[in-house]
Parts: sequence; C-alpha cells; structure tokens
Amino acid sequence: MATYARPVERLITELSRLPSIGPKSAQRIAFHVVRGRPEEAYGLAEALKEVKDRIRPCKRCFNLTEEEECEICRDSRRDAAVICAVEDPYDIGSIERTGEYRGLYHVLGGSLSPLDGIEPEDLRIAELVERVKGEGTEEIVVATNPNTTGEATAMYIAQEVQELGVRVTVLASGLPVGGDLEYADEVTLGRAFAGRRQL
Amino acid sequence: MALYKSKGIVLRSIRYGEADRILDLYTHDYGMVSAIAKGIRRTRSRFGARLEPLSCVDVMAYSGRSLDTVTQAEVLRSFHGVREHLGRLEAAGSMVRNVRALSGGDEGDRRVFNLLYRSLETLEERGAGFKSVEAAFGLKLATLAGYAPELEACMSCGASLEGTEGLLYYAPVLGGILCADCRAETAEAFPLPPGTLFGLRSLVSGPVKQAVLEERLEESARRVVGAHILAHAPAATSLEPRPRVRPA
Ligand SMILES: [Zn+2]
Ligand SMILES: [Zn+2]
Repeated sequence: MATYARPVERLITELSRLPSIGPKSAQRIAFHVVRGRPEEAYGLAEALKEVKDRIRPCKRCFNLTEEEECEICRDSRRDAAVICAVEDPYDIGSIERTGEYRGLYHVLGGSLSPLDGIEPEDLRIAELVERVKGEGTEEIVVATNPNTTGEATAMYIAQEVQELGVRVTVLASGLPVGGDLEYADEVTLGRAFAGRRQL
Repeated sequence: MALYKSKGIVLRSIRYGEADRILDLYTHDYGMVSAIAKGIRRTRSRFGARLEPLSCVDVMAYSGRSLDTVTQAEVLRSFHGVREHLGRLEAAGSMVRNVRALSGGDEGDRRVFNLLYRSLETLEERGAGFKSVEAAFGLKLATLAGYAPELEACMSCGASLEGTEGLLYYAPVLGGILCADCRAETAEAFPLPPGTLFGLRSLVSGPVKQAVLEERLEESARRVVGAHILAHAPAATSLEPRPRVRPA
C-alpha cells in the first residue's frame, strides 16, 4: 500500500537506489524537493540528464570527459612520459589536489583480486600496456589503493611491462601524517621502517 | 548483543558503503563469521592493515541480527609474504574460496582453521611449488568436510587401480577415479596424466609442509581438486532441482 501520491513514491524509490541513502533519508530528500522551489528541482533534473548524456570515458586514459580526450590528456604542459595508473576516476581528483604530479593518468577500472577471481581481463591493463608501447612512456606510477587487491594489481602491471624498459614505481606507504605511532599496525609500521629516509 | 573473541583468518574483504568493509573470517572457535569493520578504509582507521585478507588475527566482535561488528583486531600473523607475491597469492586465493565453498552454514571446525594456518605458513616459507600446497590443502579440506576423494579403486567396477594399464579418469561428481573401461560412466570424467594418482595419494597422506609434485603434475592435481570441491560444495548442490512436491 503506497502511503503517498504515486509521483512522490516514485521519487522516494529512485532516491533510495543511490549509495548510502536509506529509506528514511530518501523520504526526507523527497519532501525537501516537494516543498522546495521548482527551479531547484529542475536544475537537479537537468544536471542528472546532462551528466548521463554528455560524459564518457576519455579514449586515451578513461578519465571522465565531455570530449574525445580529457582535459588532462589534451594539456601540452603535462609530462607525457609519465603515466599514473589509478583504480577509479575519482582517484585522479585526490592526486590532482596534492599539486605534486604533472604527468598523465590511466584509469584501470578497479583492482585485481585473486581472492575473488577478478582477472586482468576485467581491468584496462592491456590498454595501459598498449599506451606504453605507443607513447614511449618512461615511468608508470602505480597509485592503486594500498591494500591486497591494489598491490596485486601493481605487481601484475610490473610483470606485464617488464620487457618494455619502462620504470614502474609505486606510492610510498607508511604512517599517516598526524597520527600516533602507538596505533600503527605491524604491517604499516614495518613498511614505514623499510621506507625510512635520511634527514 | 553478545561480545565474543576468537582467533580468525580473513578469507575475504568486500568494500561496503562509504568507508566500511564486510569481512568473511574463518574463526578458530565459531567457524565462518561475517562481520563489518566500520571506517576501515579511512587512512586513519584504527584497524590499519590489521584486517587485510589472509591475516590471522585475534578478533573481538559483537553479534548482530544479520551481521557482526568488529570492535578490535590484533595481528597474530599477517602473512604479508603471501599477499606480496602473485604466485603465492593465487594459490591462497583458491584455498580461501574453497573454504568458503565447503563451510556454508556449518559448525566451526578448528581443524579447518589449523589446516588453513599451516598451509598459509607453508606458502609463505617456500619459494616454489605453490600449486602443490594449494592441491594438498584442497584434498585435506575435502576430507575434513566429509568428501574425501576415493583414490584406491575404480568408482564403477571396483577394480584396484594398482598396475592398471591405460589412462585413469577423474569423475568429480562420483568423487573418485574411473578406470579406462568405465570412463564413459559420466560425461564429465577427464583423463589424468600418468603419475597423477600417485601424486594425489602422496598429497593426501603427507603433511602440507612436504607437499611437492613434479611441475608437470601440478596443473592436473589442481584441476582434480577444483572440480572435486565444486561438485561437493553445499552452495553447488543447492542449485540442483528441488523435489516438486514438498512434504506437508
Ligand atoms: Zn584522458
Ligand atoms: Zn572400472
């Protein structure tokens, strides 16, 4: 039995399909929309439509873009000899905000998981190897997540490009800045020791 | 909500929600447990790398209606040497998948926990022969689960397999070997390269630490183990058609 008018029920149903929105939140958002000004709701609807109509993966790096190639790939000031491989497009935002990196990217679309049977063919690793061959890449920075699947992906990539004479690096792992040593686990602390640097 | 504590090995870890993970653990005292580790994907999470797959941990959790919640974890042995090597990780991957396949809804069996621990330890210590460890583990696991493969006589005619001429075949659903004469008994029987039977027997009878097959036999031993477990996993049998009329 529907409690509200059909369009309201429909909105609640659609909203509760979104990640981390439960039925309670969906109801709250729906009523916010119902009470709010029409322009706000139309703006949201238009934004949803636009993103689905216009956004596609960059044909070179698989970042999201409105064009054939994304803005980063088209930027001639960036260092095209370095490719940073990430799991998801939103990882690019995190890295860009550091201001530390000026090379290109490659979105793998996930990580390898020998434990659950996610195989290399499910990711864009072959496309990365092709790019390295075609673009004369000198370094691949593998910036997958520092966990079992991310590191398995990094090892696999290193193995795949071994013959191509490209340098493969991974991000340093160690203690999070601002934390206390006593809360660090053995693996993290062990890595921090292995990667210590001279002052 | 009862709080409990046990040693456990992380079999699987799935991203959940914003920053959580749902873990499957095989615990020493309670068998398979699914528990959520809240906030574990945040860089500042107090869990850190403690609950990475294959880690053996002392875990504290409280049981919920559908899912338990991990409150604390201390590493007993991280097995990062297995995670950081692709060959070892692949073998371990198939081992933990087999544990999940064969322990659906069962009571815990601490022998399974101990077997898994010893096998991960063996993988971490050795530099080659990972598939032999994987196959030995699978055979011993199937035996503990009550599905020991029959490796002494033909499943159909009962003939002894000693000194048999011709190829032998493995029939996963029957759970054992068929002689060349009986190979047509089931469609899914596949041939074993010479020496495989002897290799399988040595894996069954010896300790995991000493599991070593000739390289040419490793692949067929893995195939036998994989097909045998798939045919006997509770999850696979539930796919069989149910009786149409249910007794009242
Ligand atoms: Zn691009
Ligand atoms: Zn026979």
